[in-house]
Formats: sequence, structure tokens, C-alpha cells
Amino acid sequence: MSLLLPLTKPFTVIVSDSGNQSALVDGPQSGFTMNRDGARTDAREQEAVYDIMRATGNDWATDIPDVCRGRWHGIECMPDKDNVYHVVSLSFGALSDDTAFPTCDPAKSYISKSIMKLPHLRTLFFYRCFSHNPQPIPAFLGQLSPTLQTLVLRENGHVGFIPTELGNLTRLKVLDLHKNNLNGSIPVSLGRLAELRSLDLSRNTLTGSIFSLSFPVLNVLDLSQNLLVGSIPSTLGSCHSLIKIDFSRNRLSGSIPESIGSLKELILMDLSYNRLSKPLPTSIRNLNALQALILKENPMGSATLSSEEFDGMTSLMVLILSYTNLHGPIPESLGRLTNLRVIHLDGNRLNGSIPTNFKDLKNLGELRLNDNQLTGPVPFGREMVWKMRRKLKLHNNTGLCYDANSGFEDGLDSTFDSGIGLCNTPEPGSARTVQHLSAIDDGGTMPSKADKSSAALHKASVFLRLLQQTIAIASTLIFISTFEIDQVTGFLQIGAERLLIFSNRVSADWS
Amino acid sequence: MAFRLGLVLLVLLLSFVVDSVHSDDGATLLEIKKSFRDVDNVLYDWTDSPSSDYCVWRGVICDNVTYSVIALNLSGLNLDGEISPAIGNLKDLTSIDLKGNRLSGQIPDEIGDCSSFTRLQLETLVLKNNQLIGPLPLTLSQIPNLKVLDLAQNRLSGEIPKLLYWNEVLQYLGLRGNNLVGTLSPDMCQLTGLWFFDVKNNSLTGKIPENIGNCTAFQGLVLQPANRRDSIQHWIFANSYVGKIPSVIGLMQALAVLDLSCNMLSGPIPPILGNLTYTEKLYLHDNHLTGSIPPELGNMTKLHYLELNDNLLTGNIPPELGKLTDLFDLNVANNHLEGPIPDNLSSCTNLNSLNVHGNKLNGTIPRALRRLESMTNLNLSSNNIKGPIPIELSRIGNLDTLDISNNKISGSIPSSLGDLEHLLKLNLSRNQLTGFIPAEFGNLRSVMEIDLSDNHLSGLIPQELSQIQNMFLLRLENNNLSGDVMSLINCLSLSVLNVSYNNLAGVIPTGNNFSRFSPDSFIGNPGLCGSWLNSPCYDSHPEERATISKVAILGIALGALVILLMILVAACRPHNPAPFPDGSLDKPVSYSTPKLVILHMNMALHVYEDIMRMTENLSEKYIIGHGASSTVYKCVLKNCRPVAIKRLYSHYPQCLKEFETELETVGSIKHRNLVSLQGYSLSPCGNLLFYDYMENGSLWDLFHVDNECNLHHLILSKTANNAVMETVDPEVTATSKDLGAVKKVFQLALLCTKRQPADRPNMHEVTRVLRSLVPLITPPKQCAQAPPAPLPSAKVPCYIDEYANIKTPHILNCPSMSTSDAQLFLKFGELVEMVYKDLKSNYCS
Repeated sequence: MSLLLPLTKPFTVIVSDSGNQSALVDGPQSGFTMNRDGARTDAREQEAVYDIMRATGNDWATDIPDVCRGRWHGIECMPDKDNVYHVVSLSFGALSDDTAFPTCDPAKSYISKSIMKLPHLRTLFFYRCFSHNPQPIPAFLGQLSPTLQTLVLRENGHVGFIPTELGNLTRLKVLDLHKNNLNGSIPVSLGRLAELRSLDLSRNTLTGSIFSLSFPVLNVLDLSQNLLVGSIPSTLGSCHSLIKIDFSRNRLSGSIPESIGSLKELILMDLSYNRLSKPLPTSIRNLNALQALILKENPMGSATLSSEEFDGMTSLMVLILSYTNLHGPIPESLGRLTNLRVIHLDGNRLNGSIPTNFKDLKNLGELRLNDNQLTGPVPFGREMVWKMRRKLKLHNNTGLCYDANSGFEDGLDSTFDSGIGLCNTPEPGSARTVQHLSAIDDGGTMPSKADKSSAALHKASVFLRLLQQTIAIASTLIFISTFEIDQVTGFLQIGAERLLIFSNRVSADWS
Repeated sequence: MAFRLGLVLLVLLLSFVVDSVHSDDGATLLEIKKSFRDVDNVLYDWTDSPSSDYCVWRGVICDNVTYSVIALNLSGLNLDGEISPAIGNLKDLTSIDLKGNRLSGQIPDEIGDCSSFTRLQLETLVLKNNQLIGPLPLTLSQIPNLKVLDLAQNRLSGEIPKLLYWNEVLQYLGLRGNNLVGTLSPDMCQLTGLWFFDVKNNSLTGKIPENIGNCTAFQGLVLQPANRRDSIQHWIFANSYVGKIPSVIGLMQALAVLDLSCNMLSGPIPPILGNLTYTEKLYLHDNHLTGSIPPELGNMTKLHYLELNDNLLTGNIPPELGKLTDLFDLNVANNHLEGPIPDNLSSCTNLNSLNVHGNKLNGTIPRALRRLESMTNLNLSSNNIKGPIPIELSRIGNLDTLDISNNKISGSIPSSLGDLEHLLKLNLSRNQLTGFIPAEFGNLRSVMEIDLSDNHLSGLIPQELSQIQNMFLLRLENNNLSGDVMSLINCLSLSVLNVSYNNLAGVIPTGNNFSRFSPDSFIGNPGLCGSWLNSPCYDSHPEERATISKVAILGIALGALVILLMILVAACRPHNPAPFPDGSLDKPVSYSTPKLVILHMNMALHVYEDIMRMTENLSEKYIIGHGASSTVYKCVLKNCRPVAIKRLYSHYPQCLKEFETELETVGSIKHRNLVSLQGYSLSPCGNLLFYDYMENGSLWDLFHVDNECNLHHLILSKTANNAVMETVDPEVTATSKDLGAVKKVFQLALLCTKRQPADRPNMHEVTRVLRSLVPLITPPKQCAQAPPAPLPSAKVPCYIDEYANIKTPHILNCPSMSTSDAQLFLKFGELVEMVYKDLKSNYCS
């Protein structure tokens, strides 16, 4: 319903509630000191609200003389042109400390059938209400007033099927059944909800396949964390307004439909943890608004990424293709998507070298290429490595190495093992043991330039931490009398001496 | 030995391996700790020793049954470093609070979980007041239960992800003070649960979405203004918005605060805003608004703050504003307003500040203004106002600033202005005043600045001015004054003096450091002579004054400030109201619903009912102590530090407004050594003040209970060695500038520690002194980029801010009390009697 307010008329605006016999008066009333001469609440609705309140364990509410007067949290009303007040919104559940909605007695609450007696209802909101009294979503909700626009039954512990009857609520804009225990398949009748803008059925145990969706104004579609099977319907491409698709953590198979390329407004697509088995459709390159593409853990049919694979996805910031059976080289086109911040390509069989233009990805803060078959030198200098720190994962790539003069090693957090070694040296620094032992034995290859001092400080702190832990362990060892005390203290003395030398070195670096 | 060493390291490594194999919450926490740079070693108990239970580590809260971490509260621990991505591994975490640290780097995407298997349960994410950079992670939109997202005061950049708006349960979105760009998306209508929205001080551009009021109104906001779910209560912008104010905002009747200040909004103020009858603060200042002030604004009956200054408004000040009887602050300065100041404004009996500076207003100063007895600040300067100064102005006894400069005021200065005994600043300059300077000005005991320059005043500089001990600015230039300047020789506090271009004569004295004034202060007076003017009267013998050991006093003062201000509010008895004259205009105040006024965001998510519920309506079992003025309760709130609730023994509803003003002032003082006033509530069960809860018992006991921890006792036991100077923190000397003001604060604080409540100054006196030192901080009056608020004087810096960085001795911990602390206190002891007498005679008579 569009609410275009003719603002030339000051303060009171009458909007036709099309399709309904008694038009409500939208617009501000004269505040709470409202002149209620002749104003009254619809008696039938008043009784209905009492019933609904009783059904949720809020018996106290039956003492409210007029539910539309007195601003009861969770109950909202509007007057019609005859100054009769109608209930338009009901909300229940302990959403937070600030929203003092009537709470539900979780052990015995249910949705009263009297809710059908509210012909002007626009919003129905139940949150964490029936979790200890598991019950299906009542089918009679489908016979609610056609004025209903928002139906939220979140985290209520609902069991059973989604009632087919919900498809009768044709004016619905928001349907949110997040985190219940609903099973069965998604009723095809929901396809009749042509005005839906947000459909959230996530975190249930829904089975079956996704029917042929066609929602022209749907913005958000979240079916994640269910047990859905089958393929992604190609009609998804007709939901032109989609900005978010989340089908993650299901059992979907087949391919991503080619039609997906027509979703020009799509910002996020998460299909991770499914069984999609075909390579990415070429049309995916048309998704130039897409910011996040998350396909982790899908056996994408041992695909190679073509050299222009991601061309056109200029908004892409997050690309997660871990464990998707990719092989072949990393396409150079990826390095041209300068908005990229997160790239996960780990757990694949990618080979070849890291494209050199990756060093141009100025926004890159996280890169996982570990567990692949990559070779050759890493194209990153000190700054980029320093920026990513622990979020740079390169280990388990037998052929990957860094050039001695690239500054790569300088950028590394000294407590962190990059997992790769110097180019042209046979042994890729395999374990931190080597590093630390060498640091202790001969001071290692201490940075000598002033700008390395912070790295040196890091090393110092690590050493301190190691020493602390050593002391702790050593003292444990004393108690279990494995060592003679003098040997332990002897060790500690040596440790302290080395620390002294170490810290002198560090301070020299500082100066 | 090398073998042993290797063995130990091997064990060490094993422990690492074990950690990573058991990917339990404890190991994750240690991983998180690794990313922090724990400067103060506050996480010392986060160790991987096998006996250490991570559920008792600092800031960690575990589920009682599963022992998984459900909340992480590490706020204000001076943590450096970054937020570890490992935080995404704490799958049962519902609340993360890392505010007030120095964390840098980006918000890890893992917080929103885009790569791990189970979704986060996160409901509260508070990272404000850090140094985080980078964009808002898109993955924040993937947290299904996120209810509170507060990322204010960081350095976040990029756009607000549109997907963030698609959240049924998000209630609090705080993004103030970052570098966010882009426009606000109409998708924000989807935030149906939101009640707090703040994007002030970013670099957002474009227009405010036209549908803002529309979508919220649609959700029932209009009819149910107090229903928080469907109503955004705080609507705060300050960016580079252009275009007009969308009229539909007038439908968002639930708004408590509408702040569109410091944008580039143009066009008129929509009259429909007058329909926001529950709005308390309307800030439209610093825009390019045109047209006249809509008379409909007079319908905003709850309005406390109306700030329309620095726009391009024309027309008259509508008399309808007189209907705003709750109005506290009216600012229309720097517009193009014309016509007279309407008499009706005198109906705004709660008005505390009226500023019409810099317009084209004409007419005379309305005599009816005398009805505004609460007014402390009256600024009519830089207009075209004519006529005399009405003697009625001297009836506004609370005035501390009176500025009618740069008008066309004529006639003589009413001597009754000397009755304004609380006046701090008097500016009558650049008018056409004639006659004498009233000798009664000597009664202006508090006044710090008097500017009468550029008038036609004649006669002598009255001898009585020397009675004003706090005056540091006196400008009398460009008048026709005669006589000599000897009457000023005793004004020791004077640091700015200008008597140039008058007809003064005689010798410019050299005693009492009078030579601190430059010749420019005296030129243009043919009859004046002095050694450093070019007309020497005789050889002067400038004597080298021994500079008092400023540093010593400063140090002491600072210590006092820190230690004693802490108890200032606690120990000071509540304001004892002056009896009101018969037929007083004060309307009886009725308590409708108890209002919880939040001064600091720590408590922002709580309402009065919460506190009553948590304390079972202030049940006796929550009492932790009794003070001289109050009973103190402890209340542990959800997701928030515990608070101490002071219930004042007595309250005076007839001075509610004043009391609230004082509390606002106290609440605006922020110092890490001060227990900050988090909020207050003037409720039927008493006036409640909410403070951060501090451990270690009450300071009262420390001062007054006779045991070995007694501070006076300690002081006596350690004799002075006159080396107080050396004990002062060197940073103190480096940062403070004005000794006098520090001293004053310290003296005041001393008074507040007197054992007998009757011996202490009351709240009113305290705030008055404080206000004379610190500019009254009223919320958003200034653009972020604008210069700081004009101080009461050029000389008095804003101490509280400066002191925020000063290290000071901690005295609360008795066993670690050092000699330096004791010495400070000893010095206090010596001063207390003298100071007490002085202040008592000034303020408490």
C-alpha cells in the first residue's frame, strides 16, 4: 500500500485502505491527550485482544479497560473515519529490555483463534513465544485479514508444516519464520504472495525442493539452514528485485542457473555448504552489483576458472570459493576487481602462480590460498603482508615461496608462520620450532634497520611470552621432579642472559 | 643443557598443538588475546595453564550449563591491537563489548561469519570508541539476531551496507563519528524494530530519503509514539545532506530527538514539524534553511531545546513560541530575522538561555523578559534594538551572561544591574549609552568580564570596581570617562584591561603588578602618564615579585580536583531552594511517568522500569550504604556495568528544572578519575542518581571513620617535609595553564568533604562555581568542524578536558597510599579552614 500523504492538508490525512470497507485514518492523531469525544475501540476487537492476551499467559491484560487507549506496548490501533479504533498491530515476546512487549508464558502459550476477529490487522509479531509448547503454525492464520502485511513468527519452536493457507495472505510483504522446527516442503502456495519483499524461512528443517519462485518485488530471500534438496529453480532469475539470496547449508544440487545473471541488484549470494556440482554459469559475470559471493564447500564439478571468470563483477568485495574442487590457475581477472577485500580459495587444487596483479588489490585484507598446489614466488611486498598478517594463509602449497628481497618476511608477524620458505631454498621453514630455536641460539636474523624495530619488539614480546610459559612449565616439572632444581634454575639463568642480550639488541634497534 | 632446553620447548610446542586440537573456547580466547596488545596486562589471568578456567577470566561470561562463552566484555581496558578473526569461533557468543579501547585494524568479517558452518548467535556488538578502520563488513547483515550494533566513534569508511537494513530485530544502530560515505538507502524502512538511529558526524551525502517518515508512520509510529518497537526515537544526522527537510518527518511523532544540524539542508522548515508533540530536542542549526520560522513550532509542547541558529531564516520570531512553556534553550542567532522580540516569549518561564545574536531585530528590549526568572544566558547582541536598558532586566536574578552589545541602546545604565549578583559576563559595548558607570557594579561579586566599550559613558571609574575579585577583563575604551585609574589597582585578577581613548588623567600605577598591562591599554588618554607610555611621570622602581610556587599549588589543586571532585556530588547536600516570592510563576510540577534521563550511553538501553525491576523497587537488600544525603543501592543491569543508585533523602519538586540543569552540568564532566553520573531519574520514590558502581566501599568512610585507613589520620601520621612540589606528577605542570581556576576547584572540593552536611556548599553553589570555570556543555550546539564553544574568557581553559590525560595519584586503595598522597592531603588540611571561610562568605551566606 502506498501512503502518499497529501501534505498540503495539515496533520490529518485520510488514506483509503483499498480493498477494505472501513478506511482507517492514517496520520498523526492529536497526541495522547487526544480528544476522545466519541472515540471508542471496536468492542469485538477488544474482546479478541483479551483472548489473545490470555492465550499467551497475559491474563492481566483483561483488566485494561480500553486496549487502544493508554499506549500499551505491543498493541497498536488506528481510527476509522467514524472515530472507531481498530487494532492494526500485535507484538509479543521479549525482544529486548527496551521493547516491553507482552511476554509469553513459553510453557502454555498458543495463538488464539480470536486473532481472526481483527479485520484490520497489519502486523503480527511473535518472538520466542511458544518454544516450550511446540505447536504447528495454525492454519487459520491464512484466513487473517487480507490487510496483513507483516507476519513474523521468529524462534517460536513451531513444528510441523508451513500451512498452505498462508498463501492466501496475498498482501503480505514480510514473512519471517526464522529458527523454528518446521519440516515438510515449502508450500507452492507461497508463490501467490506476489507483494513479498522479504521471505525468511531460515534455520528450520524444511525438506523437498524449492518451487519455481517468481516474486517480482522480493528483496531478501533466506532459505538457509534447512534440508532442501533439488536444484535452484531457474525462475529465480525473474525475481529482479533480489538483493540477497541465502540458500546456504542445505542439500541443493545441480547447477547455479544461468538466469541468475539477470539479478542486477543482487548484493549477496550465499550458496555455501550445498551439493552444487556444476561450474559457475558464465552469466555470473553480469552481476555487477554483487558484493559477496560465497560458494564454500560445494563440489563444483572440478571446474577450472576461465581467465575472464570474474570480469564484470566490479563491486565484488568478498569471494569465498573454499573447498569447491577448483583446479587450474587462478585467473588474472580476479586481480582486476579492486574492491576485493576477502578472497578464500583454499582447499582446492589450484596450480600455477599467484597472479602478480594481486599486489594491486589495495583493499585486500584477507587472503586464503592454503592447501592448493600453487607454485612460484608470492607477489606481495612488506606492506601488504603486514596489513593482512594472520589473515594471509599460504601454507600447504608445496611450490610457493617468497623472494629474499621482496620484503615479504619483514611484513610477517613474527609469531606467525607463513608456511612458505625462501625461493631457491629447498626447505620451506616448516615449523616454528626452527624459527624460535634459531632466535634463541644465535639471536636469529635480527632486523637491523630502524623501521624493523616494531617487528623486533614483537619478537621480544613473543620471546618473553615463551619464557613465561617456559617458567611455568619448568616449575611444573619441578613438582613432578623430573628435573633437578639446579638444572632448571641453570636453564632459567641462561634464558635470562639471552633475554638481556635480546633486549639490548632491541633497544639498539630502537635508537 | 641444550637438550633440556629443547625438551622444554618441545613441551611448550606440545601445549600449542594441544590447544589447537581442542578448538575449545578457552583456546579461542587465547587466540583472541594474542591479537590484542594488552598494554596494562589486564588480561593477565587469561592463561593456558591447565588449572585456569576460562569462565572466570576477566570479561568472560559463560553459559551456566554448557560452559561456552556467551559474552565478552572487555570495554575500557586500554587494549591495543586488533580484533582477532578467531572471535568468529565463539559460536555461542551473544554479546561482544569492546568499547573504549584503542583497537585498530578492521572489523573481522568472521564476526558476521561468512565461512564457518554454524551461524553466530550474536545479539549485541559494541565496538564504539576505538580506532577501527575499513568498511562495515557486509557480513554483519548475516547475523540473524543482531539487535544492538554500536560502532560509533571509530574510523570506519565506505558505505553503510544496504543489507544491514533488512533486519526485523535490529533496535540500535549507532554509527556516529566515522567516515562513512554514500547516501542513506530507502531500504532503511525495513528496520521496523529500530528505535535508535545515529549517523551524526559522518560524510554521508545526498538527500534524506523521502520515505523516511512515510515508512515509519506506516508501521504505526504515528499512533503509538511511545511504542519503541515501531518508532525511531532518536533521529540524528550531521553530514552533508542537501535538499529540503522531508515533510514526512513530521509524521514521526515518536521522535524524542530530531537532530538535522550541520548539514547543508535548504528550503523552509516544514510547518508540519509542529506536529512532533513529543519531541524534546529539535536541532536544525548550521544549515542553509530559508523562509520564516513556522508558528506551528509553538505546538511542540514538549520542546526543551530549539536551535535554529546559523541559517538563513527571515521574518519575525513568531509569538507562538511563547507556548513552549518547557523550553529551556532557544537559539535563533545568526539568521536574518526582523521585527521585535515578541513579548510572548516571556511565557516560556523555563527558558534558561535566549540567544538572538546576529539578526536584524528591532524594537526595544521587552520589559516582560523579567518574568524569565530561570534565565541564565541572555544574548541580544548585534541587532538593531533601540531604547534604554529596562530596569526589569535586573529582576532576572539568575543571569550569568548578559550581552546586549552592538545595538542602538541608549540612555544610562540602570544602577540596579548591580543586583545581578550571579553575573559572570556583562557586555554592553557598542551602544549609545550615556551617563555614569554605576557604583553598584561593585556588587557583581562573581563577574569575570565587563565590557562597556564604545559608548558615551562619562564620569569616574567607580572605586567600587576594586571589590570585584574575580574580574579578569574590563574594557572601557572609547568612552568619555574621566578621573584616574587608581581605583583599579586592587583588581589583582585583572588580566585584560583597556581604558584607552577616554579622558582619564593621572599616573598609571606600577604597584600590584599593574605594569602587566601594555601601553595599548592606556593610549588615547592625554592626561595619563606612566613609565612605559611615552610620558614618564618619574623613574619607576620595578620590583621583582617573588613568583609564588605555582607548580606546588597547581599540583595540590590537581590532586584535589581528582580526589575530591569524585565525592563532590556524593557529599554535597542537595540544593536548598530559595523561598519563592508570593504569586510565583512556577507551575506545580506533576510526576507523570518517571523519566530516566541518560547522560552517558552506558545505560542507554535501559528504562526506569528495568532498574526498578532489578532492584525490586529499591528493596533494602540492595542497599550498599548510606551517605550524608542519600541511600546508595547497587543495581546490576544486563549488558552494562553495575550502577550505584543514590536516592536522595529530600527533593524539591518546585525546583525540578534547576535541579535537572545542575545534573546535566555534573553529568557533562568526564574524567577518568571521576565517577561519572550516568543518568538520573526524578521519580515518585525520590530523586535517583545513577553512577558507575565503584568497589572498595565508600569514600565517606575513608575520610571520616576512625581507623588506620582514615585519610586525615594518615596525613597527620606523616609529617610534612615541604617537598610537596616534588611529589606532584610532572605531567601536571606541563599541561595546566591557569592556577587560579584549578585552585578554585580544589577549594570547592575540599569544602565538600566537610563532615557535617551543613558545612558543605550546596549543589547550586557547586555548579555555579564549576560553571564559571567550564563552559556549560549543552549537547549538540556545535558542528564537529566548528571552533570550540566560546569560553567564558580567553584565559580560563577547559580544564576538565585537559585533565583527562593527566596521571594522578590513586588514593582509594589504602594499602598503597604513598607519602606523596599523604603530603597532598596534609596541604589540604592547612588550606581547608582558610578556604572554607573564604568560600562560605562568598557563596554560602
